[in-house]
Amino acid sequence: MTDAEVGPWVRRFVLGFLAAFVLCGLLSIEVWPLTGFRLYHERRGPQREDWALVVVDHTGAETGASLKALPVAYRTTTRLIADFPHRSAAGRDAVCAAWADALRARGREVALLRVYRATFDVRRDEEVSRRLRYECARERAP
Amino acid sequence: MSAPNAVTARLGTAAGSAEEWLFGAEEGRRFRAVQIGLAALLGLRVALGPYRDLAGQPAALFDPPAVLRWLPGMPPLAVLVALQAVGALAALLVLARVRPHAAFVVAWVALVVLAGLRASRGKILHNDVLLLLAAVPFLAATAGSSLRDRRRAVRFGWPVRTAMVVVCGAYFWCGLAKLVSAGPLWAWSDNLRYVLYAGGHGTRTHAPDLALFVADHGLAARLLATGVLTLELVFPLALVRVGLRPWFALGAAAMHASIWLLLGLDYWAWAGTAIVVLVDPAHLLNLRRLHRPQPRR
Repeated sequence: MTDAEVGPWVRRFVLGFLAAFVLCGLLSIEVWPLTGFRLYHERRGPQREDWALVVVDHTGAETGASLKALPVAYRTTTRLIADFPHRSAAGRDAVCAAWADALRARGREVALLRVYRATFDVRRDEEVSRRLRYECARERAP
Repeated sequence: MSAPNAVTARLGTAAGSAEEWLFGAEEGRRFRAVQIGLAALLGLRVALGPYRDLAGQPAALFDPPAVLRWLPGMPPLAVLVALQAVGALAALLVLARVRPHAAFVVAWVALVVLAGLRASRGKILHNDVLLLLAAVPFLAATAGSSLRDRRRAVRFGWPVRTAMVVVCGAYFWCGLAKLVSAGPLWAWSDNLRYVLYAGGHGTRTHAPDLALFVADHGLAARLLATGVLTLELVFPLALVRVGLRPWFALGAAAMHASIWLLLGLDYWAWAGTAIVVLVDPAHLLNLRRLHRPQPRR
């Protein structure tokens, strides 16, 4: 190893980068693209919980709404619901309004959206219970 | 010497040896092969990702990682397409040896921005992180080389070896996170069965019947989970055993292929990165020559 070939700044860069890489792994820190590498790390049980987005039409009837049917830009955004307790009512409504608008643009009749926390039996692939957590994106009178 | 002093001295020696290995020499052709491989992966990820479909995302849904917090919202389609074109072109320039270092930096930045935008939908995505992190040392590696360059030098060694540490470390952290979070029961319980039931009933799996078949057979699921956890935890052995590196790369590729098949999760960039960084084509060719039967005289 010769210092003539590896300048001090390169040495500092490499050691600094590896220190950050190790620190993030060790302490499970997420500073994307640095990451704690917590991929499928939790032990799963026979039931799983997930958010269920439901459209309520003008008759009050509920039908499920999957963001998977919307463009890529919308998919996985139900994860934003976990942050709802830290958002203002206006902030939550803005997120719901974005979903409602996209659903209306695809022909769905949306009077309001309901967000449930649903529990599924993973083996039978059945929903076993649901709790209403939010109502949002209520259509305003013309 | 007192016990604490002896431990400190040993740790110091070990750190010195590790640093000496990290800044050891490699052949120029090995450096170039890894640079080409990583650039090709960067280019493919940039060109093939579904980034154009991100355009038009409402501002309320934009939730970028810290590195992109300076953006006010999802960029318009023209910007996304331009980023893809520039990133893919830069990767081609690396392959063509036209300003390879600068072009590599451009391709890396393009993927950081595009993959970061893809991860701006409420969920952090790990699909590109191994490639991005393994490529980091090459951002600072200005050495010029070719695939015929047999010179051994430190300037060719440290980028390749740092990338190897990243690949081996990443798999090890994945295994350790599982062990810390769930203990050995991550593998030796019904954990993977439930993962496979959820995946097999989902829309992304490419082999729902196979996923549900493995889920229905507890021993098969436990053996599969044990294999995954063991592979991840022993991955750092590849750093010290040169002959094991292709096998670890093969193991990683098999693991990601099975995850893609059973759960539909796209981690081919991880498999590609492991192969590019760990497999030395020249070493494999030398092994073939050594094992070729010699003609009788």
